[in-house]
Formats: sequence, structure tokens, C-alpha cells
Amino acid sequence: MSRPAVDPTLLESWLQIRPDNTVALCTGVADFGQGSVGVALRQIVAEELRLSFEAVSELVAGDTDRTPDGGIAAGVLNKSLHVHYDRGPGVHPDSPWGRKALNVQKVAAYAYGALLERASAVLGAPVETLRAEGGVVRSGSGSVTYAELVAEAPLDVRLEVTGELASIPGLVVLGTPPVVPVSEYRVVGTSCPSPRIPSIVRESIPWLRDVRLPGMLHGRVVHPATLGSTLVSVGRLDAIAFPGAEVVVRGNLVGVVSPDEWEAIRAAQALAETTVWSEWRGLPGSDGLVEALLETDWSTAPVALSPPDGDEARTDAALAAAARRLDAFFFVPFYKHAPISPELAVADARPDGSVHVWAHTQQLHALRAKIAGMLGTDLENVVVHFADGAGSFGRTTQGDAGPEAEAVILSQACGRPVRLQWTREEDFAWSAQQAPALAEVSAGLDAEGRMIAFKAEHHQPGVNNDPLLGAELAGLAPPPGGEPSWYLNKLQVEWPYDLVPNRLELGYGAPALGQAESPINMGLRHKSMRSPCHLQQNFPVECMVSEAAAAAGADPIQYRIDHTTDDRLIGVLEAVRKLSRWETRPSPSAAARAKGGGNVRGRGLGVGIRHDGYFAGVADITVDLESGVVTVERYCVAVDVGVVVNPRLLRLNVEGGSAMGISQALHEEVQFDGSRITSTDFRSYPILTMAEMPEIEVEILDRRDVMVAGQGAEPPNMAPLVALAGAFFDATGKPMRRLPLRPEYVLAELRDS
Amino acid sequence: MNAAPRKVIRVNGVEHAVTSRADCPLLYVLSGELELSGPKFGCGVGDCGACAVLVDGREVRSCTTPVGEVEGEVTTLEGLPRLWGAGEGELHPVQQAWIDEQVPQCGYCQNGMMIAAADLLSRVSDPSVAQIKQAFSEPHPHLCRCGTYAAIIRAVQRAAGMMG
Repeated sequence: MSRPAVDPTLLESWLQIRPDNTVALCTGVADFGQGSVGVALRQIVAEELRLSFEAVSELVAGDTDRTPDGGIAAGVLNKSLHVHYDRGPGVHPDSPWGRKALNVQKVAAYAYGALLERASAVLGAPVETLRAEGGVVRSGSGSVTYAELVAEAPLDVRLEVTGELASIPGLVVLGTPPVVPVSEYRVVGTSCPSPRIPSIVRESIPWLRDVRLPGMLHGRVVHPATLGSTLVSVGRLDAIAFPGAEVVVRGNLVGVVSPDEWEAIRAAQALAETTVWSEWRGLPGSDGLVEALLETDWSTAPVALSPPDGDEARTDAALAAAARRLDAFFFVPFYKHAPISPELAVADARPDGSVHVWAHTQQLHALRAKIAGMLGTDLENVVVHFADGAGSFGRTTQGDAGPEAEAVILSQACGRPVRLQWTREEDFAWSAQQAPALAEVSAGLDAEGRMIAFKAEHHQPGVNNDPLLGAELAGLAPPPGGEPSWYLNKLQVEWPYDLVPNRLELGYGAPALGQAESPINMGLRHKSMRSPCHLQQNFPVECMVSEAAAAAGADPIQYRIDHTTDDRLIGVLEAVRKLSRWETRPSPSAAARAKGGGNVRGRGLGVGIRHDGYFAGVADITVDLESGVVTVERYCVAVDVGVVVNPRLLRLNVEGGSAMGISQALHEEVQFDGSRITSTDFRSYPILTMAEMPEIEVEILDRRDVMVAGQGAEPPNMAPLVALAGAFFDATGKPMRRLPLRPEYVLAELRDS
Repeated sequence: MNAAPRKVIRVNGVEHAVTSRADCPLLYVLSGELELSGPKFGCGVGDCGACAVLVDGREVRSCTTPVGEVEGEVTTLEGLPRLWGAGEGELHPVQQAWIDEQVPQCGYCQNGMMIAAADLLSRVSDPSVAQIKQAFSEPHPHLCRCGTYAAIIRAVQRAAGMMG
């Protein structure tokens, strides 16, 4: 049990009204650039307090000693995550929000109620007759400001909370205070600008890389030669060449520190050249990955079933009896989060036994618990401070991005604060990655071409299997946390084709490749990445629906509409059909060909539905049949996330997430040999460039009537993979069932025709 | 470090006697000795553009430029307003356009993006989308993992209008 440094039952711990009538808000999670915390939470609080957006002028986000609720920054607004995955404590029937948004909405609502009660006493008027606007409460005869109401004593509201700080949900505020009805929102639903952006363009933002502490040293680590190497002998540093550098060795953790960053970099390079590691081979190599996954024993980890009452025998019988049956394998490779900044951390292990860590993490209390566990010290001795860094899209699930524990160990060893910056190569080679996926999918069609049976078996190694790296290397007792969280291997797809009478999906997990064989417990470990596992399951499922449409001679949009009663799916499909000026016809196109050189063009549809966020995208592509290069010319996407907090912010997030999905579909694949990851820079792990960015059109539907805030920032990367594969099929007549659409794979696929 | 000055470099209009070795990349001099946070470390080999600065108005990757080889005036993101001749508290039009279009998400790469925009707009007053894409991709790309490319294109065109 962790004891919060601030009392979460006290309203003042969450929200303070200041003498200038502005409000400061405290929350345990910080913003990663999507604006969900830095903008959306402020809008929600402003709404409940009947304030302007600007009046919520300060946000204290993510500091284990200064903020009340902990938890994770992913899905910060989302009600269905709150209800289905966090088991729903505190859910408010009149609120569209979940998680952190629900917490701050309730806090603001309780504050508003308390302010009106005080105003009633001051103004001598019943609460029901009072009106509040802009921080001023008015009765028929008088007025009083919020600041005046708290001038003598802060609001003395006690909150009822439940939960664990280090868990994914964190603490949850209970109760159902009266809240502003969605139909009356004035601040929510408008495009408030991000208060963080001016500080980014002015460079006044406190970046993690700029944290400077008195006496701080720059650290670098010499990582093992392979993912299973142990230390044979430590190299020597020439004291004359490196007068300020000091070598630190703890088990298999070899580091160097120096007051001068450039000296630390050069010393680490010199040390690496003379440090000897044992040899190790325990990986199949990326060329053999599909075969290795096929040979994996998938019986060792939990198997999930969807729908929960799914009947395998009945589905198999329906497939066997179908007029036409389609069967296919699909493959999605390992992905790297590839933040533009290689990860770094600053640690200060102080003489009094306390440890301060500055990190760019979305789950501060989980990192705190891991560090405390590693050191065998009380939680209260570890403080984690958030600082801004490069977006890493899930890399810090379970707290750590990679270098944090190493920084703590180096700081302890040299008795000074240490700033540990990983190199680009280390960031690719030593970070955990999103697990790959292999799926076996079957569809059964009746004589008219309608789907009557659908079965998918998804195989993915266990995601979020990432024990604390520094602890493992140093041989310290592995702290709790970092075990595979099998829930992500369960079924993620929110199957909307309810008119298909027989459907079964199965999810299988397995340990990370090479991990059991690695003496240092490494192998290819896993961390969830944007739409984790969901993207990997959505791709085969949606591609098979498109293949079924083609087999039926049907248009892929109309075919989907004909198999669902979900009006939100129908809404985004009809919207993207209009937006993209879609020609209703089956794929492949009449001009499709896979041979003969020159360019062929195609268009494809993709669907991604995640936690009440609906996305339907259309890609127009060109395939160069000689070079195998695929070019995306245009991507149109229709979006329905229910209640929209900030339309412009959503639009920007959809553009960016779509770009990431296009990048994943075109380029991304982690490559490795028998010993190590070999994708170690942006040339061997290319991501989308601006030259490759297609023209993009986004349409946001207004569906506040559904009373749910769905996910908007995370899932836009799902639909492009399906859309690009569909467009490739439309252009060439060849289904592309493995990603990415790299020229070598494209040419191999075209040759096979 | 109390080492003797080795070189004088002019950064954002101010001369600095720096003590770093001549082979030290300009990036570490700017972020370490001068404590400027604009140029960022992203790859160390000039592949991503996060570290970009202007030298005499042209974009340079500071992570691969030894400080000993720097000739000319260095402008970092912090110096863009001065480069434009902006008044106290005002911004370079590129920076203002970045706010108006709400370009940054995480924001880490945006230093290099704004530097590239300032370079481009000093050469081409009204760039087309194709010219913008080329300027941000060749010979070395400016990479953004958040995928803000479409917003950057809009912001460059907006800035061009403001500078026109």
C-alpha cells in the first residue's frame, strides 16, 4: 500500500482557487502532446465551475509528491475504459467522461456546490436563486467572487476516493455530484488553444533534457553486446585522455559518468571498445520470425474467447457448411515506439536515502514503486517528477521508459545526481517493443455472398513484459511489476458486424522471444504501443471483411453497412464515402494488374473502432510495379468519438495518428539477427517523412447524443493499415496480408502472382 | 569545467568564449555551456533534424557539426525573433504561425521544424506544398513521430503570408 504524499480526500489537494479568481488544477498524469490533460481537463473543469478556459490557469501534472490521483495518462477521458477495464468505480450516470476526466469533473462539481453554499450564506439568498459566471456568483441584489468566498478558509470538502496510486486506473473519486448536462456545454466542444504551445515555440518549456541539478554528472551506459550477453571484463579508460570520467560497474551494468557530456560520450565509446561480453544467440532473426511464431507453444499463456459465449463447434460447423469459405494468415511485425528523443532520465540518490527521479513517464507511481522495490526502500523515499519529453506512445506504460533505473544506480554509485541520456542506437536496441502478431482468419459466405460465419485466432507474445532494465543488468532483486499483462492478449476488436450470425475470436499469448534463453532476462521484450494489440487484431479482421466483400463481388463500404446495425459505424462509413468521393464498386479495380511495369492506382477502405471512437478511412495509393514503392496520395477519414472536447485538437490528433498508421503500414518493422536488434537508427527503422505525407482530409461527426467520450487521440493509427492493404488489393488484385508494404515484400508478393 | 576558452562563437547576437574541445558537436556546446534548450538531441547523426540551428541563415545539423568548424553567426530557436527584428516579447512569424496553427504535439522535433521553416522562407517567399515537403525532407529529413506534417505545411504557408 502506498501512502499518498498529498491527501486525496481533501478537495484542496486537487483544485485551488486563487486570490486573482483563477484556478489551479492538480492531476497525477501529465500531457504527452495530445492535449488530453493539458487542454481537455482544463476545459472540463472550466465547464463545471462556470469559468472561462483561461481562468483554469495552472496545471500541476504528474508529480508523485504534489498530485493526488496517480494512474496512467492513456485513455484519460474515456468512459468505456473506465467502465470495462477499470471495473467502473465511481462512474457517473450523467457524465460522458471516465478516468482522470471524471475525477476532475467531480472535484470541480463538488467545488462549485460548496462555493454556491458559501455564496448563499454571504448573499443571504437561497442557492437555487444564484447564478455563477466567470468566477462571480450573483443573486438578485449582490455578488461575490470565488476568491472572496475562499479568502478566509479554503473549501473544506472531503472526497471519497478508492483505488491504488500505482495501478492503471490510479485513484478514483466516488460520488455523483450534480454536473453540467452535456447539452449545456459551453467550453467543452470548443477549440481552446493549448497553453503549452506558446512555451514550446518560445523554448520556455522545462524539458527533461534541461533538468540541471547542482553537482550533476552526465552518464552513459555501455550496454551488453547482445540481448543475452554477460560481462566478461570491463574495459579500461585512459585517465589522461578522460580526466573527468569515472567508470561504474554493477553486475552487468557498465556505466561512465563525467561532469562534461561530450567527455561522457567519448569515454563510453572508448570503454565499449575494450569491454568484453559473452557471446549469445537466442533469437530466430527477423527473417525467421513468422516461422518462429508458427512454431511457438501458444498453450502456456491464457487464452481468451470472444464473444464470451462463443461456440467454436458451432462456428466451425457454419464455416464448413458455407457456400464459400475464405482462409488466410496475416502478419503484423514488431514495432518500435521510436520517440524522436532517445529516452533519458535524471536521478538524484541523496545521502539521506531518498531518491528523486525526473522522467517523462505516463505512470509515475508505477515507476516510483519499481524503483523503491529495486532499492528495497519505502515508497515514501522515492519521488518521481514529470518533465516534458518526446512522445513515446505507450513506451512508459508500467512507469519506465528504459534508462530510469540505470540512472538511479549510477547516481547511487557516484553519490551525485546523474543525467543519463541513451543514444539513438541504445534507444532502438535496448527498449521494449510492441509485440508482433500472427492471425489465422476464416470467413464463410452463403450463396448470396453474405458473411454467415467468421473466425479469427490471434497470436501475440505477452505485451508489457518489461522488467526494470537497470535492475536486471545490475543483478538487483527484480522489483514487482513488469510481468506480462495478459489482458492485452485478449480480444480487443470491438466487432460491429452483428448481422453475421456465427462469430468466434480466440486470443493466445506466449513469452517474449529469447527471454527464457537470455541469462539477463532480455530477449525481445514488449511494451504496448498506440492502440496496443488492438491494431494488430484489427488488421487481420478488417482485411478479411474486405476480402469477403471482394469474394462476394460487393463494394467494401456497402458490404460493411449491409452487415451491421451499429449506426455509429454506418455514420462514419457514409461520411467517408462522401468525403472521399468514393466510387461504389467492388475491388479490385477493372484496371488492376500486378505485372507489366509502370504504375497502378487503387483505393481502399479501413475501419478502426476503439473504446467508443469510430474511424473510417479511405486511402488512395499508387504502386510502382517495377520498384515496388507504394505512395499514398490522399487519406480521408471520418471520425465519431461521441462527445468532442476540442474539435481542432481532435482534428490535429487524427491527422497525426493517421500519419503514424501510414508510417507503420509503409515502413515499420523491427529487424534483428540471432543476437540483437539490428534496426538501430532512422535509416534501418524508417518512419514517415514529410515528403511521404499524403493530402489528408478529416471529418468529425457530431454525436454528443451518445453521451460518451470515446477515444480520439490514440486509435487513428488503426484504420490506415487496413485502408492501405485494401488499396493495394484494389490496384494489383493481390491481397497484402503481411506488413509493412516495403518494396522488397511488395515485389515478392507481385512475383508470386 | 574551468577549462580555458578555446573558441569564440557568436550565438543569437552574443559572442561566447567556449571551453569545449574542438571536436565537440555544436549541439552540446549550445545545450551544455550556453544552456540553450532549442536544439535537441535526436539521433546524433543528422538523420532527424531535432538539433537544427541556423548558421548565417542556413540550416545546419548541430549534432554533426564540430564546434571547432563553426564559422559564422549561429541562430537557435531562441534567436529567431531577433533574426526577424521582432520587438520585445514578439515572435518570428514562423513561431507565431506555429501557435496559430497549434502545430506542436509533444513538440520535441518542432525546434528543427521552425528552423527549417525560417531557412526556407528566407529563400522562397511563397513556397508550394511540394516545395515545403522537399525542404523538410531533403537532403536530410526532419522527422516528427507525432505526425504533425500536415499542420506544419499549413503553418509554413501562414507564416509566408505574414512575412509577405
